[in-house]
Amino acid sequence: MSNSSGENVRSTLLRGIQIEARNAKVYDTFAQLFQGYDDSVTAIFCEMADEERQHGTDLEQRYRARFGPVPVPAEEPKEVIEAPDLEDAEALIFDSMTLEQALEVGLKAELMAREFYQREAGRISDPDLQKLYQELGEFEEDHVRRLEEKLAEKGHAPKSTAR
Amino acid sequence: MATATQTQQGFVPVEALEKPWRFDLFRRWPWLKRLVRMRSFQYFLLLPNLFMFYLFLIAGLFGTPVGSSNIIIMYVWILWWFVLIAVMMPFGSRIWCTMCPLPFFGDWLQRGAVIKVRSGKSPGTNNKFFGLHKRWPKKLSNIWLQNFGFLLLATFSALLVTRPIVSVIVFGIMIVVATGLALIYRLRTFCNYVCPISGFLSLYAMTATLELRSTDKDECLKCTTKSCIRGSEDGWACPWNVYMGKLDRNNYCGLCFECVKSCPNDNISLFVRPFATSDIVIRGYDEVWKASIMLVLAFSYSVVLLGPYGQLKDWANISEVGNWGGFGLYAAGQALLALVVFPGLYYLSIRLAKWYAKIDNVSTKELFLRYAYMLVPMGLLAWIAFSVPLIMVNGSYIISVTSDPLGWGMDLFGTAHFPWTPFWPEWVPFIQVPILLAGFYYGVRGIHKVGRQLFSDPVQLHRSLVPPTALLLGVTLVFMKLFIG
Ligand code: SF4
Ligand code: SF4
Ligand code: SF4
Repeated sequence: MSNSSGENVRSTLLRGIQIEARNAKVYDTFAQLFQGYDDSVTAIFCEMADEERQHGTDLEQRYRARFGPVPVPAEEPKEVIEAPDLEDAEALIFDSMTLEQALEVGLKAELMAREFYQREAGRISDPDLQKLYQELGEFEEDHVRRLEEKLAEKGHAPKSTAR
Repeated sequence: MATATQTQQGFVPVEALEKPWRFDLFRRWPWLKRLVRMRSFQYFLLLPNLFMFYLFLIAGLFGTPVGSSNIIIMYVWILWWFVLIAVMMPFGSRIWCTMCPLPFFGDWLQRGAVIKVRSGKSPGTNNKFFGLHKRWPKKLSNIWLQNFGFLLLATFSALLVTRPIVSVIVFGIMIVVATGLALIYRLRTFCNYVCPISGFLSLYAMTATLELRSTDKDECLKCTTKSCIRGSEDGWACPWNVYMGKLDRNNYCGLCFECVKSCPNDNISLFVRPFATSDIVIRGYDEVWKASIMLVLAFSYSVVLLGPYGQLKDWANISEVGNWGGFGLYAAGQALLALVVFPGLYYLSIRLAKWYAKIDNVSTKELFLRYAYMLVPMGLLAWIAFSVPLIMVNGSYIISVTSDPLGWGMDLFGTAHFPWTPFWPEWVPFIQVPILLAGFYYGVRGIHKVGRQLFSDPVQLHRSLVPPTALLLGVTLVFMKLFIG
């Protein structure tokens, strides 16, 4: 493995760690935002925040195994990859956020991440980095599957902006 | 055939909507942003308004009971109404809500402060609120209460606009209810769900040439605090519970500018945009019925106040004629027209559109909601057209009442004896007709834009537009007949 390849792997892992940490914060924020509304929505956002933290911990372990201590990031990640967001600016006004929609917020973010990692894996020629992207893509694939299963359990129907 | 951005139920993601141009006022005039970010900004506007409002209430209580000689009637129901509907709504969105005195006491008690911000952890927010901070019942989380409230007020408008004491009672009740709700429920529950004025402000704000929006949606995606809605140490949580990161229509943004203060990423700006071309998504039956109620009320007022139907005038004028049987007929007819007949005609036009354009991939509900946008610019401009003669014919009362606000024979500015003088009444129809035609134009243009998002086949698109456009044309012609005879 060349030096530049090692550096690419290191920075990609680091970016992954930062993104997971950022997303955990976003889910925490959503959980707090919906406090007092539908408890199942708050609970699912808390659950997703915990999962993101768990992903972060897994990535940190891998980082430490290869590169030593994980540096503290100087700033929030710039990328929007896998950033979860509410779809509806008026969800709180109309008290319309459902458990299914909350799951969709997570699913949309994970799908974006999976697509990104898979695209990068196909684009990059460095085998070491390619392997990492593939692994990260599989990681996200797993999350996508889990969220889809949860949505299927809830008898999920396609969303509409109509109330 | 459905477009690529459309899912099974016609959902169009915010990101996919076609956007017209917009002009960033904060970037052009940084001093404006500095002004808006000042904690005291809203109160510069609100406190003088509150003071005036207080004086009006005093005038209503102690002044003459003759409506045309009392400032509360002339200023509120002629001047304020005209400025609100013809200037503030089309050009300033909900700028009235920025300075509205009605929720002031509720906000004060709920926040425990007039100007400063209090950090804390009241559920859902980063601020400390007083009161019970309860969640408003989900079943009432819509604008149906506002719809019925406005219809009720409008039905008794003859009392409201002629008897000063009735205006005082109505505004008094509104202040008490707004304050009480602020102590029990979260944020601006009164404004969101109860205020009868709010319903039409929210609907017609869609057309406004002003919008407050996040400048960079990606910044919002990455933002971990969402302080615009949750508040921060610099600003209160959004009183209307709106998430700026995805905000795409003006309806429920009360332009309090708290989010501009609390966004840590300086990512919110005030934009100027073209009239009635950006916010074109109607999202619920409550909003469709609001549009219907407003249009029918504009029609009904025009018939009663401007039309040649003496009998109807007498029935509606409960305050002077007192014919309760006739009034009951008038009220029931008006309600039937607003709640059943007109929505029924509109529904029929949608069923016809589905049949004529052979639409099977967009549900009737989706089309009914989406094409209802045409009623928004039409309704607003019909109201403006209706209000033109009010100000041009009765505006001179404002001049005289300014010098004698209580009708006690004072002459503060030497204009108390200004005679009733209609201003250029012969020009009224020439002003009303283009306004109505503009309403028709923007209505059709709006649904054409909506239709383009729903149908990629131009033949299907145009066929789908024919029945609702015919209905809108009918509405325009009826108003024209009323206004120009
Ligand atoms: S919604 Fe009603 S009470 Fe609230 S600020 Fe607007 S006009 Fe005033
Ligand atoms: S606080 Fe600012 S950057 Fe964050 S979501 Fe709100 S508007 Fe966007
Ligand atoms: S989004 Fe909320 S906080 Fe911002 S101006 Fe509108 S009502 Fe106020």
